Amino acid sequence: MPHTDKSRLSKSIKSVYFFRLSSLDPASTDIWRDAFRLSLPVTASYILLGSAYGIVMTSAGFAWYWSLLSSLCIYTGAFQFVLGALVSAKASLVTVIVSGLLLNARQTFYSLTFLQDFNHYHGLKKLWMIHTLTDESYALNCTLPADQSRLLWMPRIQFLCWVSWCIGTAAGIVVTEILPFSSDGLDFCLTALFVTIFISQWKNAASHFPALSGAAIGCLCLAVFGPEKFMLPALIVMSAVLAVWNARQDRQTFSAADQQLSDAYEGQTCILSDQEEG
Amino acid sequence: MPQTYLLPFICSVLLTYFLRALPFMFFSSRPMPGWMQKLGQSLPAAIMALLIVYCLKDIPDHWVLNGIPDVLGILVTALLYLKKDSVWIAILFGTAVYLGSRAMLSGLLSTSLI
Repeated sequence: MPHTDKSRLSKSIKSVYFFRLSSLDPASTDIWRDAFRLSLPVTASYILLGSAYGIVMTSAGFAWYWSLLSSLCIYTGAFQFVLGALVSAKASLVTVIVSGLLLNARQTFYSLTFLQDFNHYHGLKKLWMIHTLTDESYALNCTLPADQSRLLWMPRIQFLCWVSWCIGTAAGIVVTEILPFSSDGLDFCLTALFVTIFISQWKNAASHFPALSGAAIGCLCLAVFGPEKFMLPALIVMSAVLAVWNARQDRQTFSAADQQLSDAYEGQTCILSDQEEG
Repeated sequence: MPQTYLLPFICSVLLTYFLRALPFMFFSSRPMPGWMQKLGQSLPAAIMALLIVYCLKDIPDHWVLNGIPDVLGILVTALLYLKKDSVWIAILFGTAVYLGSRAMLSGLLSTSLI
């Protein structure tokens, strides 16, 4: 008994230090619990940001069901805030659509990463998986192991994120009626999450070019287009740069293989000529 | 409010879903071209760097009040993550340092010591 207690203790200590990817065991019976722990940095911040959304929408005079439906069906943080602000300001439908297009076009790039993974799901589940891919669930999915076991984690992680965003919204709606609330500054935990993911990707990367180019192009586009509009141009420029870079890598691999072949050929002819001389 | 929100709401739902489903509408039946697969593999690291830049986009508005807490918070987060290998500890203390230094700075600024 003391032994099991000890192992349980060490397990719970490990779970405090968790997030080592090797601890994700697909054979574990507690995939939900592990998914819960894995997504906790996101779900916690989603509940806070979601409640901020509920507070803003409710104080702007929107009925509770509009905020909740938006969180369920639109489910993209920044644009939901913008949509509320635009409708409050009686902006035209075209303005709404264009700003939605510019703010959310990055979602297309996120889907692109998980194209093959999501094709393993079918029917409604696949449609729902596509719907619930956000900046943060994308980031969490990126930390998953590269093998098939990731297919088990992704739906659970995305579900927990989705639900916590909606719970947050509902909480914000309720809280607005009862007491004043400020989640000011707590969104830094998202920055911190991105930093840790960036570091773990950096450690595992074969080349640091994508990460460095992302940072450089991001800063450049921020300086050129300003804080409100730089994401989309940065994504487009970054994709173009990475596509060219990938093509160049291919060419280099090819020419390296060519070089090896010709080296081997030259070596053979040398041996042959040596033999002839001998 | 419902009448004015209904149409923008429906448009937004359709638009966000369309943007998310765009790659699936074109490449579900046929294989995705190789260059696109490679792009999908190299994008995450670049997007993560971009997301960090996005989180820091307001620093130029106020270099002291926005810049110092963010830099301190990120340094603490990164160092703790490298030392302890735990995302939790890194985020918890990083955010605490961020909030603390921001409160201190805004206090200092409001009493016009700087």
